[in-house]
Amino acid sequence: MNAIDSNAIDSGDTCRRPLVPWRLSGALADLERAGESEFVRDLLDAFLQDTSTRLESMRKAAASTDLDALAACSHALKGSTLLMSADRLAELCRDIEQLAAGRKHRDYLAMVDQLDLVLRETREAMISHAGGLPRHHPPTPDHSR
Amino acid sequence: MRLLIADDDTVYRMFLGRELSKLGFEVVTACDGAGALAVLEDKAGPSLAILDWSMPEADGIEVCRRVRANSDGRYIYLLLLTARDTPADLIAGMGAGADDYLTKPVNMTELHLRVRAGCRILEFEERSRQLFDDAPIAYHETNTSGVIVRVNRAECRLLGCGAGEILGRRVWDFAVPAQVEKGMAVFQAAVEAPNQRMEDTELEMCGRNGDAVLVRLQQNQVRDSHGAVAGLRCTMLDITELRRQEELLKRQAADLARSNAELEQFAYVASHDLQEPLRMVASFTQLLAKRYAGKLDDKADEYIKYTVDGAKRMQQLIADLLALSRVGTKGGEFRDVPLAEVMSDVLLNLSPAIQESGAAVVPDSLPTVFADRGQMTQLLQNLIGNAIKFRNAKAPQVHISAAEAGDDWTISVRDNGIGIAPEHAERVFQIFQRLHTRDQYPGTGIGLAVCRKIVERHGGKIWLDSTPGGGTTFHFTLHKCAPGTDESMR
Repeated sequence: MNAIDSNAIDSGDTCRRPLVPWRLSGALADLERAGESEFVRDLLDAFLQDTSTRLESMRKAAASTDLDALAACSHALKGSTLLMSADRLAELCRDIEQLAAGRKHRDYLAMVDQLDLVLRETREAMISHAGGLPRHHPPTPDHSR
Repeated sequence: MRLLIADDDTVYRMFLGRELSKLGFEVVTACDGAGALAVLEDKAGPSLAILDWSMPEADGIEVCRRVRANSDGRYIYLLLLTARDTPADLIAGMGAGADDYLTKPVNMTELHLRVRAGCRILEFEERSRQLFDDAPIAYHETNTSGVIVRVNRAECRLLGCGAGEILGRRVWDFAVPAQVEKGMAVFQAAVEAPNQRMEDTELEMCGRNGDAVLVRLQQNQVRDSHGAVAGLRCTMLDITELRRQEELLKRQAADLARSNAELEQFAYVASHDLQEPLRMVASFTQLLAKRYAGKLDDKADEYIKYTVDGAKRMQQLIADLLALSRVGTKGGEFRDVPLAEVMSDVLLNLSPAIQESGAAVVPDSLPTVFADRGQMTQLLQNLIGNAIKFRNAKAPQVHISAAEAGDDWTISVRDNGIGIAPEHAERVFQIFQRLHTRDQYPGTGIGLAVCRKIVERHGGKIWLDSTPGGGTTFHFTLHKCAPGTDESMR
């Protein structure tokens, strides 16, 4: 399924239709309607950068069976996927977080691989939407150590 | 208003920053807990923060705890924004000191409304802080150990110290050495008291330049959400000058009382001692008139007559003066006095004048008052006697009534006599002041002065309403019966 296909599905019962990797909706759609396409592109760019880093952290945690770290990383990634309306990513993050937090024995590396796969599809959909993403830096100052 | 967004998620920082900037906030961001704390510990930093729960260095919960623990008197509104959404998470977040809690994914409308609500709380907090700081009365707050945790400018001025020198110390550290123990004791009593508010107490403090400052200390308990005492909120009113003025006033009042007593005693002794030689002058001039009338020439008879009249008038004046001084020096005890009984005595005493003038004296029901019975008789007799004396061609009509006026009775004596011009309404109460010649109306002009002195001795006041030719009404007030006695009208 690609981004164009997913954009064609704009309503209906979410239980019956398969989850798409990503389509523009929610807060981002509001921004775009408000004429803030450039800012939406910045957000997509930042999301993809951030997500790559977090995926790496999840892979390391899964490899070392550090379930606390894995649950924490999944939780953190879930927050931004929800904001970006990346529903499939969000669902996978929630599953991994809940299983890891519940100390269930699973093949977490396989789950992270699946997440990686969906992330690639999501990235394609986002890039497709944006017509190629420029690299932007966050506009507001950070106070981090 | 400055606002902090602390989130390790770049997308959230960007998104929220953009949205809240559009609402007019000056947005600062931090990507971890340590960065958030650094921003919030700056006194000029934001007073509203949106904190993610899961952050490196220190999570949102830890940031909340540390902000609340390190409060420097400035309130920071903390809103936790997290994907954790169980009731236990909410309790943990609010328990750590968050003011509000919102779950991800964020609904911007809801976030706007909650941030606005936070702004309203901060505005209210700022107004109350300004009120506290600018209040003209010294004000501080302590914890349960007596350590001052908050102090306003007025208290700094009172103690002659900066806030930094006061915060962290105890109230009694600023008391004069002899009052330190008292300061500790009243603090302890206030903390342990079952009531939130204690009786005010006075404490002598060391003010600026080491001067002693007497303060009235008011202590109120501050209780936490469980009802336990968390500290005291205290005000200190500088009463040094007030107390000095009170002492001065007391001394002046005592001096005045002594001076008045001496004057009254002088008037009494002088008038009493004048009576004897005057009696001799009067007796011998009367003897002279009796024995030599018609034996000397006409001029001599005229001179003797004037001498006799003068001596008689002087005797009357001295007698009246003595009566006036006796109001203060020879007064009787105060007790419950039924004015109806007094009225009967007065009517009996005045019966010759009443019969001679054809007067109708009509008393209403009169109350019992707390007074000197003899002086009540004198008072009513003077007023009713005047009402009969200062009559016109018509037979006198005198009406005596009583009306309640708070803790007092107002007694009124109304007549249909010649009346008094308004410009003389005050003068008639002065000693030896007369509005008519002795030929028109006899007297020395002392009766109403005696009335006023009697009423004032009873703590009341006396005045009149009148129009010339339209009669006069004298009013005076008297206290009701002593507590516990029957106040019913008789």
